[in-house]
Amino acid sequence: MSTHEDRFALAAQAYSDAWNARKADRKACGGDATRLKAINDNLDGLHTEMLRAANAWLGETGPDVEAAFKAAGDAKAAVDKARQDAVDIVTRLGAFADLLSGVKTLIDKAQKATAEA
Amino acid sequence: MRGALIVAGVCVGLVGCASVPRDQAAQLAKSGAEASDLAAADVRDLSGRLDRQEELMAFTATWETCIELSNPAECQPVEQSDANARQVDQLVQAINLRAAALTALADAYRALGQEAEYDAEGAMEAVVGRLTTSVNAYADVIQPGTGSLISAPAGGAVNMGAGLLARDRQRARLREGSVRIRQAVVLLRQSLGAEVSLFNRLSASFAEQEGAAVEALYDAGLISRAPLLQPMAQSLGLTLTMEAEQILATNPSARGAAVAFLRGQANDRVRQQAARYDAILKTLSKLEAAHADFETLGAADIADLNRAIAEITALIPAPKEAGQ
Repeated sequence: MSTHEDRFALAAQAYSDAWNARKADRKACGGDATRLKAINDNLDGLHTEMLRAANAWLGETGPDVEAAFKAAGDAKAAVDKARQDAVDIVTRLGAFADLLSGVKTLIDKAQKATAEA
Repeated sequence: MRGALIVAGVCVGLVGCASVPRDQAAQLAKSGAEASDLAAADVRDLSGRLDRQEELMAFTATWETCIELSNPAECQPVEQSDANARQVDQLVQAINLRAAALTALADAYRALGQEAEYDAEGAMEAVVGRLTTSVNAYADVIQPGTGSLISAPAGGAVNMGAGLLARDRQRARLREGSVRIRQAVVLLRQSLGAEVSLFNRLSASFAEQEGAAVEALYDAGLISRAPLLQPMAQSLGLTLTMEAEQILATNPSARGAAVAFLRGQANDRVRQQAARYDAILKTLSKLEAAHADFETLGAADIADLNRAIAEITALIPAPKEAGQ
């Protein structure tokens, strides 16, 4: 079972990795303004989710939360692999979107479980 | 006869209140106020850094994005989203609650000191009440509904001891004030302790963003580069050459080494911040122990407490001189 700290750490690590890879990710956009905007929106979104996890007490868990935790972890592993394999930027942007969505769902579920406890 | 019985009854309840030492209370109050003021200043520094984060991130993101555009005419400011701004505001408010709780603790210690030194009857009750409210508000944000909140002082709790001699009333108030402050210290320590990993992550994230902003300013040629290396040259007793600025602007190896130095400085700041946080937690534990000793008429180890405070003081960077 994941803890409050595990959930925050996953959100924080997703943002930290995106931040550290931002220059390489932007370089891979080949100067395309739309893709560069997608990189910036993804960074802003992951930063927002990290702060949301910091601001909320995500103390409770349950089957929904654990499923969301696993899905977000899988999405993060997919992003790690996409960066490691230097896959094309369009595929990479798809993986970034899945991770952002996965982290957001995790925090929504944990907040809901905590509020209902 | 009835009055004497009341005196005896209250003193038994207070574990020998007539012997509570005023000097020890004054020392405990002085050390407690100093430690709380240092911790509050550190927290306010974090809040100020978070407040400046938006402009740093906007500058860095815009610079880094626009240099990658194939058509520079498409360069647009990269702005923080409204959702992000809301979360930053919320975090600043939470950090300010922590600063307010530590400031209220310092005020309570000063009131305890006045009580010990000047027999300032009635000075403590309002201050301790504010401390309770403030610490509860902070703890409720960190771990809502955990049931660890301290209760507000009962009406006149720190004015207890009616019927006692003035000297004994003062000692009863000192001990009761110590109990209330200790409860707040315990809850503060628990709440701050629950935030260690969060605090260290956020602190590292701020340092990375500050470092990236310096790099962006450096690469854009908008700042003098040589002064960034001045602390290293100074610590080695050396002087930078007149050509340093030009070399740093044009030589990629020199640029790489300068950026590595700046990142090292940022990492040092993160480690120092984490060490200060640990030192604050350690000092709160020692304050708690000193209060318990004081209340049970043990010999509170003020020297040990002051060593912990000296540790925090040593970790706080010296204020920069004007123009630095």
